[in-house]
Amino acid sequence: MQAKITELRGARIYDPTHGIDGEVRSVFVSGDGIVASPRDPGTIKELLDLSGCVMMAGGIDIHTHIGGGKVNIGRMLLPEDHLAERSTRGEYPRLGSGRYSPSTLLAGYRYAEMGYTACFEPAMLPANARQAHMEMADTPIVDKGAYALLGNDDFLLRQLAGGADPKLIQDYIAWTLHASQALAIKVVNPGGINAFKFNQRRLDLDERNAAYGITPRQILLALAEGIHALGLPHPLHIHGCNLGVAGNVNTTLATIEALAGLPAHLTHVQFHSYGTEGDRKFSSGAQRIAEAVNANANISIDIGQIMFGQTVTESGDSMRQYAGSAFAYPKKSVIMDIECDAGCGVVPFKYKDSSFVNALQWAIGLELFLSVTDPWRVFLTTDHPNGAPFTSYPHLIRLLMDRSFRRDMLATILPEAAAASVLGSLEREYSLYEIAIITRAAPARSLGLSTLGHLGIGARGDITVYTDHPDRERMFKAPRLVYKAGEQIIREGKIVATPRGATHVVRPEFDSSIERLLDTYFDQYMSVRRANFMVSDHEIEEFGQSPLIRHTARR
Amino acid sequence: MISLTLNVALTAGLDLAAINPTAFAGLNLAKIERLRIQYGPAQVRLADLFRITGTLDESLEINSESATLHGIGSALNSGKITLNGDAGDYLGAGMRGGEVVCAGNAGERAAAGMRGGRIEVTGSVGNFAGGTLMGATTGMKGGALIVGKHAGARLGDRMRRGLIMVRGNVGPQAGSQMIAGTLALLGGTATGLGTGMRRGTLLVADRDAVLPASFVVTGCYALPFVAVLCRHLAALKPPWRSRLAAFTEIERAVGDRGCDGLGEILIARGE
Repeated sequence: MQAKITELRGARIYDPTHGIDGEVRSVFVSGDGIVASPRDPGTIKELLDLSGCVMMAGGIDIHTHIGGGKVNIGRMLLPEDHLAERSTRGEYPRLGSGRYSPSTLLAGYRYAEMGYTACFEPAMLPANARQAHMEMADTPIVDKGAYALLGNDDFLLRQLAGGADPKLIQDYIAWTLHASQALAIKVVNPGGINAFKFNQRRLDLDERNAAYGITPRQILLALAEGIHALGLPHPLHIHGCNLGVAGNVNTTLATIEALAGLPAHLTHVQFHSYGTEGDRKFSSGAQRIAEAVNANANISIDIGQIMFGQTVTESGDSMRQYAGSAFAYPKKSVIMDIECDAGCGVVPFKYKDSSFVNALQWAIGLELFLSVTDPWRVFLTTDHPNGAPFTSYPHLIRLLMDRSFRRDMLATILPEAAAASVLGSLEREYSLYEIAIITRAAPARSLGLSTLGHLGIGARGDITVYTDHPDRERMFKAPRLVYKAGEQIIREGKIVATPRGATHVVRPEFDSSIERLLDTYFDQYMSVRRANFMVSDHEIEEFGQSPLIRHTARR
Repeated sequence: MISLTLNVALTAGLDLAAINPTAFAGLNLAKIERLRIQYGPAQVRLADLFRITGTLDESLEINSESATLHGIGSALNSGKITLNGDAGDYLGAGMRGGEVVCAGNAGERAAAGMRGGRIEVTGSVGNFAGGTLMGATTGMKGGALIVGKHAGARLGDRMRRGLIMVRGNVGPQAGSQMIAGTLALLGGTATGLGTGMRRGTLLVADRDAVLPASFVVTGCYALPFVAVLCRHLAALKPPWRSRLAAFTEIERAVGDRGCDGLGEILIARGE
């Protein structure tokens, strides 16, 4: 029997993957996907008139901390967040709590409520992969995937210090993706987290790690080259050196230069765009970064916009989080090592518009959004929860789309900070088409998710329908309809179904002889055996009840 | 005075944190009846659980036979709440001013994170009275808690400022990790007095109190400030004046030296 076909008629469609910019046409949903217009109109079992609405594919968040050790530590450190914000019966299918450290259930519901259908956890330590996947499996509705952390682990650093064959590094990268069920590779403060354990408190791009004698530049290049050679869809996801340090714009520019044309993604680049000009030795480097990104087509970025208010910063970068813990609010933090292979820092923080640094950070993020010309290489993020909780996306979208609103907001921040930024002179307003790019089409393309992020035939039925409204914050806050894999999950702003999202992984080929080398290494140094370290498919599919979607490398 | 009388048997915890005289300001009875409160996982109207009578002023009376009325007076800034019956957890927790009188026992974390005002419990209080609110790094920061009977474990945990006076016995580790403030313990004490104490004062009437090994006894004194403190305590609760008579002379111990603390435990040694 043919599956039921639903026709969604009359909405203006924004599908940048196919160049559709506000055209009114019908989209047909059948089973879990989008299908062609049926020859026999009699097969259309349901017709929804969506005149006056705006239709986009389901949103994709390329960088949001929703699973893994640090998120749970954040929840434990901040019971006050969970006491202050609790859902009540009937509000959501199940109860949840927390605003900036939301429980798994609430995170899934709130993403779905905003029309997002896929979220990617960017900092999964392979040693923590099992816990991260279980937590993500507990996050309802949205699709998930995670990026495995490399670059501070003893095995890789040893190999690099010993001048390893690039082929071995490639095999190790590929093995790590298999072992941790990851979709991409991220590097956090390359070599810096490790150097912190040898009492180095900073590590610039060309400084040597005291124990291994290698530099962040070497690590970055080894990983970026390995990923490129493997043909992974998503390039190296880089959280660079010197996060949050005034003057780090030079490090970021040097990083772009060091990559010498290799594809790379610079994440939460707002935190890496600070100069040292002015009386306070803190200034915006956004224009220089934007110029470099515009000039280097191999580089994509996400912003990590901050929003004013209480949040918690969660990062694997224990070196920078340790420095940040002096500014914790409330005054408590967790800085720890994980299995000697990376770190973890959880520091609660309150961004204030009356603080020069915070206010300028806010402006720097927006400057970056507005100054990078190619929207296909900019993704909308707040680095949830580090810049702000993801629930602030609708507000951020309004800031991007509405110049006069942006200027009104700019007038409310500390005047010295407003004067130190060129934000007030930036005229650009994002169009709905560009918003569809930065929140859907571009992340899907970057991650190699061929069936997500667009509304073409064969795409999965992840669809968000917004009621058009001049107040874009209101519009993006509560979509009228959301479909996930062809199933209606939001109707008139209310959750009506809670399907389980899939887990996206990438499976590059590799030479399995590396496993013998790893076996010896694991037996000698690690707390578990290699076979137990690895997360198997059935753990995700059976225990996590999350179907695996396996992507292949391009090689 | 508005009077709320519980007229159902509760089967789940009831959060009354938002219910106080200030929240009623400008409302009529019909509107008060429609106020929403959290009952277990659900939100209900105040009138679904309480009979509401009286006229609006600065005071509120709650009559209840349930011990699961949580958070009473926790958002109080001014005015008075009288509870005829037992209180649940978080009685007056975080309160900033006004007065709460509980004619019964209170649950866990009474006066936790309290900043000002006065709480009087005629019965006993549970563990962590005057301690921390969830996630906070400091406990009570001001005001006074007066307990007619006993207190549970870790009374005044991480307390920063303010006064707690207990007529009956206190549980283990009273004054644990205290940062400052005063505990007046007029009944019996248990083990671990002042564990991890940094500063602050424990006034102990129990002559048989056992000091932890990490406290250093500095000698016996007749200190003028103790006389002033006792006069203040007697004014706070005049019927307990006789319990303060033995503080004419005190034995002073300093600690917790295990964490470089300079808190003091003053044990009554007078006649």
